[in-house]
Amino acid sequence: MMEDVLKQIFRYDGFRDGQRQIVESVLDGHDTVAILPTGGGKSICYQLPSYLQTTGLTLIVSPLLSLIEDQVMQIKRRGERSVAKLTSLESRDQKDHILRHLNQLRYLYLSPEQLAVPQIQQRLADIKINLFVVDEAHCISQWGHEFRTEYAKLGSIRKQLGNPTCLALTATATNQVEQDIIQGLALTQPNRIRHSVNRPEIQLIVEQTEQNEKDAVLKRRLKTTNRPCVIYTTTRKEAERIAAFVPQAAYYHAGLEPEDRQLIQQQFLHDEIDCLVCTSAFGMGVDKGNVRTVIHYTMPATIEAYMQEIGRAGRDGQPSTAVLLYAPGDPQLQQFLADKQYASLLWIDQVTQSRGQGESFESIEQRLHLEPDDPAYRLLKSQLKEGKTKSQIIDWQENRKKIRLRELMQMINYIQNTFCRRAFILEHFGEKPVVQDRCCDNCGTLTVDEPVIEVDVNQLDWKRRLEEVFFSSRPSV
Amino acid sequence: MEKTIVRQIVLEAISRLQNERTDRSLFHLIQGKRSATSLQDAHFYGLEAIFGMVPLKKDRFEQLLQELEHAGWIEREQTLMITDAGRAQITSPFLLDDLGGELRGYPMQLWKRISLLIQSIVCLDQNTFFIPIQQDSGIKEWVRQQIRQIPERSVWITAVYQELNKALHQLTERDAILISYRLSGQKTGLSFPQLSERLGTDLLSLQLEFVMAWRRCLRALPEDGLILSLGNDIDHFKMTQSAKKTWELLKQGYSVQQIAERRRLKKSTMEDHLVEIAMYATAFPLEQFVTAIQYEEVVRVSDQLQTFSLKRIKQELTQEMDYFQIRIVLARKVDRP
Ligand SMILES: [Zn+2]
Repeated sequence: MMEDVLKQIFRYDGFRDGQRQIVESVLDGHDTVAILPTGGGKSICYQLPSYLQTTGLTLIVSPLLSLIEDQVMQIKRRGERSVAKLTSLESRDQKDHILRHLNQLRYLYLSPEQLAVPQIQQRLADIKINLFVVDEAHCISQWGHEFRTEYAKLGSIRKQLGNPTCLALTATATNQVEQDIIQGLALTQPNRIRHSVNRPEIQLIVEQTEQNEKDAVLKRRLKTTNRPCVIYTTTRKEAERIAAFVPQAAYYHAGLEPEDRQLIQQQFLHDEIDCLVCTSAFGMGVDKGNVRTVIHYTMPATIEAYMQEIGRAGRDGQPSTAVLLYAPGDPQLQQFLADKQYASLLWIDQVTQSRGQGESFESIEQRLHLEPDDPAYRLLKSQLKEGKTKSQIIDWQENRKKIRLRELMQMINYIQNTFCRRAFILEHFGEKPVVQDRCCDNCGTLTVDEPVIEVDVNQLDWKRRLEEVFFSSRPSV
Repeated sequence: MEKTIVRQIVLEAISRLQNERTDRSLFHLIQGKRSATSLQDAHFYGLEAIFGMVPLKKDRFEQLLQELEHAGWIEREQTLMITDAGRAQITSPFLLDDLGGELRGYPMQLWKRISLLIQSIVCLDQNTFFIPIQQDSGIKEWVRQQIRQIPERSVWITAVYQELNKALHQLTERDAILISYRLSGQKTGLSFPQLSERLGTDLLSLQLEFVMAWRRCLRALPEDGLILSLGNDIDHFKMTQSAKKTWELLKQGYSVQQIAERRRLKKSTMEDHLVEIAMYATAFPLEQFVTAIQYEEVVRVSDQLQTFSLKRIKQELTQEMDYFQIRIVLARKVDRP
């Protein structure tokens, strides 16, 4: 029965690890916490059960607009029309329309902000909800750097909706975070399905160097690096700079024009370019199976983020490599970037004082030259709107900074640790170590990639190009 | 200093402003701010084509002016002024006239439609997965509707290909490259940064070059062809929505007074609307606002002094006229294309 649906609707021949367990658990009406690696086929787990139930809505809460858009598009592409989304992008009219036709829907995707709207909750309370899905459930944990305040309300909202069966999904969660999810969502004796975070097909390498040697090290390494390859950088400028000296590379970051962003993603998916230099903005919803190498030019801020990003390699199960370049000074850069996300004490002081005197945010912004789009300022503004006092805000920020610093230290420990890197990561997530081939540079069981053959770039020729756009896909970049 | 396309276009604009407008005025013009003053500037100084067509942020714009000033090509005091050295950099015909701002958003709107439609139809026909290159939900919806109305995909593909191929043959090699390499289908278009690297041009200049190439391509396409027919319903009126309403009422025979009361418009807003109508409408009841003698005199003074500065004109007039009347005359005086 389940296999039939999997084949007919989703066009898969069989379940991947963990998927069947999750679907069965949910169909039995058990609250479920599922920890599946990125690319492990999360969406099947909550999209499939609906076809085995006669009525009722599957509600999915997701924090990322791009992920919601992407999921809705994929569902529609397979021919399923009874899906809708409520996010900040829908107009009032569109929202009204959706809310009036809730009982005709199979799936409804929501941002946590929308779910917090009382009218929306009221309408949802009137209909039958089969499954309450919380994607990226780790955002509920105060211990993670991705903590989101709106997620903290999900437990009580679920209660108001009549406690529908809940499926909490995340790619990475330590035991601590898993506990927070269970408590935060008020799950009752949940089934816990944890798929190992280990990605056996990826060998792990850290290369330590000096700041002024990094480019040279990267260039040398790229000579024997299998492509397609993704190079992650921390800043947009750095992505542009590196793309300029790496042969046949293109850069991608959130500062590109929307059209350019789509073009680069499509080129990469189509194997028209085979090296992408990007910030962490790349990757959301991009499912490319044959990425052979992920290189980090600078370390990410957390082990969780690192696992997410290297997880883009080897989704087809073929041997792949993750390389992390490290030079003294990198942690300071990360810390600087992290601190920038919080308002300075001076700002907090000035803004709270002015607000106390009844000045409007608009006037404060103009007078103090504050950018309304600056994330640090936006955060401060929303906290003040929630009625937090100056000392509460400062305490909260100090606490957040401590958490981030601790996470950064774990990342540094991963780099400087001289034992098996895979074991280090597994231990971080509360798992037992494994022994395998192609493990890590510390174990010394690496395989080396073949030298890269450089191809010449074709002359630009519009007649040939136009023909290729319309009629054929022979290579011409 | 290298004479890039952006610099050249900004120089051209400054020269047309005749030393009568500030850097703020120019910034609002290129941003396409639909205020009475900016619309008027575009109309008076022959800068309709640049209206809303240069994607410059405030700080980058400021930096650009500083570069031009350092090179000795412009001077900045109360107003922006082009120097002799700057004027020597400009060659005719002016580049900016091909930017297409007079069509308001029409050219880029049509580009978004046609580029996504080509990508969708070609990929659907070949059954290949694709990421839509346009994200605008209105455009996506429009394309979805269109796809349903195309009976034979392969026929459509060949027809559009032939139409484009013919049009590109009429353009320069470079223009044809810019357009063909931005299109996606079986091959994916190049991003602007990629193209700018391949062609060795700075990013912003390249973006402007693309806009100009596309504008020229639109002229080369057959008027009754497939591609242009896809943009028939795109609004490219210059008049703002609000002024258009006033105009409708005026045509129905309401007096200015009646319209102002009915629409609850302030006197100054009403005047702005009337100036807009005078600038863009083919027919306009000029006699309601100025006498023939007044009209003649404003035109004569403006021509003699070669100015659109309301203040300078007013000082020279022998008859008593207010600024609104002068604006109305100037709006009608400028040749409409
Ligand atoms: Zn190892």
